[in-house]
Amino acid sequence: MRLLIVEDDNRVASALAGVMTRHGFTVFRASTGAEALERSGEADVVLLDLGLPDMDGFDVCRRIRAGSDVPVIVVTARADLSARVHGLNLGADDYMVKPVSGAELVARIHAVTRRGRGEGERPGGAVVVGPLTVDPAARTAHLAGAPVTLTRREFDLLAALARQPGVVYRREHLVAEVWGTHDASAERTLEVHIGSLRAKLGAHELIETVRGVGYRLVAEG
Amino acid sequence: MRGRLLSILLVLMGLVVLSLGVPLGRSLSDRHQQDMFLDRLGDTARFASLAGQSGGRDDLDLLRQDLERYGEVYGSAAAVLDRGGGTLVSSGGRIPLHDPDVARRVETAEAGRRSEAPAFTWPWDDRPLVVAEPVYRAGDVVGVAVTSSPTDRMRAAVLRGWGAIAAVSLVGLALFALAASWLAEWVLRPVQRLDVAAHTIATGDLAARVTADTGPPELRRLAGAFNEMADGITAALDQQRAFVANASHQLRNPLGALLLRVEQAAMEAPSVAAELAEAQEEGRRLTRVLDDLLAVARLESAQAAPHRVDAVALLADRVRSWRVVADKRGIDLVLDGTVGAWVFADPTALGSCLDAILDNALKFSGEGTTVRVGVRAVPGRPLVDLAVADEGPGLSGEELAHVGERFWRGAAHQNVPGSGLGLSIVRTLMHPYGGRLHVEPNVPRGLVVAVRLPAA
Repeated sequence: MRLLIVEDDNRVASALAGVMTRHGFTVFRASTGAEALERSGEADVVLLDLGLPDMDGFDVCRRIRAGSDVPVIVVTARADLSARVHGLNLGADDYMVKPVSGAELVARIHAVTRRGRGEGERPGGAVVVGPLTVDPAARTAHLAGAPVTLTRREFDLLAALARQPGVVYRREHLVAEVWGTHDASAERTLEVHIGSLRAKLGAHELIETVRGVGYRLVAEG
Repeated sequence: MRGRLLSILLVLMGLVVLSLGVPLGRSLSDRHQQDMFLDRLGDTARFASLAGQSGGRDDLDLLRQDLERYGEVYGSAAAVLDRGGGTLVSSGGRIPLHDPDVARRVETAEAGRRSEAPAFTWPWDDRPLVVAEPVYRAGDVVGVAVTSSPTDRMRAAVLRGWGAIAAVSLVGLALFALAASWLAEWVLRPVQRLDVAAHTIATGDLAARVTADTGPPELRRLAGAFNEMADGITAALDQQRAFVANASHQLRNPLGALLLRVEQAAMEAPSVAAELAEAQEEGRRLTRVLDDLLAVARLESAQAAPHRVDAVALLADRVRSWRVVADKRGIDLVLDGTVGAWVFADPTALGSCLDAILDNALKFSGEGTTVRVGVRAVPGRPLVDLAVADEGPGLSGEELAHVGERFWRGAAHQNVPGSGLGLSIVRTLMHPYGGRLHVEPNVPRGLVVAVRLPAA
């Protein structure tokens, strides 16, 4: 998933880019409003700072929204209520006040992209990741054309990872989505299920562990 | 001030009027007396001369007729006395010869000297004007001619004159009083406006200014200077707020970058993840301090809308909200000892204050303790306490004095979450309504923190 970080402070931008890259996002940057407008078309999600050197952040937000449906998350130091309301009214999908936590930002990115797909797409077409095909509507998975038998939890887990191939899903996110809990002890269960999924998907290194973060599906194998 | 200024001006003017009016009245009365005396002196001298020339009985009859006519015309009594004091001729009217003053005049005339002008007499002194002249015959004093004239008409004329002077003086004084009152008003109006503006500013409305279009130039300049000072203070306060807001704003970017770096480091190096999580927690604490600072800066610039608020209903509402937290911490939060009371405040601000106080009370109280909340009337004063009493560790006497100072935290509570700004926010919020933070030890242990407001 491609993430456009619009931020004029280089240190903030590179720290943010570091964390987001670590989570498996493809990150590219814009440090001015003009650049942001130019490159927003390439992005799946835009993280927009309001304090830009060349134009008003709200204006950037409105103009991005005028041209496309790309989810925009405003990430700014302006904490006041009126700024939040104004930002959301102008078409931002979410609003976060600095300093942001990477984990929360990732969760919000997933939330706005989930919303962005809409109901029609949701059960969606099958996702192809290398030799693996996952069809959430039919709840089937095929590996190199051959069906793979999965338990309900295993399939939920695989479908969650397959939603955004390449993006790292945090452990707590997967636990919450598949088991509906935020209990830390459930992470052991997650590891067990990941293990059995890996066994069923054979020798292919489809599920990658990202240390300290979580797991992702990698197309390259 | 106005009364004092007016009375000073009026007393001064009164003295001026007196110092002019009294000599004027005196000279008026002197002139009337002088005129009358000279007139009577002439008449008496004529009678003395007639008496001196008359020798026989016929002459005396003629003189008597003369005297009688004189008496009829002027209402006076006239007589000619011989040297022994016996009456030679008389017009018939009574002459008070036994009055010591009259006797002295007669003696003076017998000694051959002329009458002197009488001393000053008050208009209500109804003694007649007596004039005595020596009667000469062949160079010797042979008798005394005496006239005694009633002074009624002269005195009435003096009184009329005095009345006129008094009337003119009073009218003048009245006009002067009007002018003085206008003057006092003119001088004092700018002072009153300054007073109102200063008071308004002191009670929190920094926008109050003085209009400096009337009054003495000095006071107009003062009003101008006052406005400049108020502008300066407002600007300084705005600057300070802007600085605080700006600082807390500017700190967010580096703090944000720092937190993200720490978060990434925690992902890269799970072995020190626990330490890095602590570091993140510190960063978040710093964030809360920034948030609170920003809140204080905003509160100080906020224009609240105070009105009459039912203190009990507001308190009950806050207690309902906080009961969830209290239950979770095993603290009994009860509403008791409440009297019905209305206070004058902004309900949102007052609610925030109660939140800050309840938050503190629940934070510092141990499990199983009770936090009592109530509205209490302050004995003997028109004040109402919205009080929260906990059974926590309380504060020492010295510490009590510091409660509500920005960032101050009790020595024993440095490790409890929070920025130390809570009660400072309460103080800031309540200041515009004359509200105060009142803190006292609870019996047997704990702390009572109250918002003390004027009853409405």
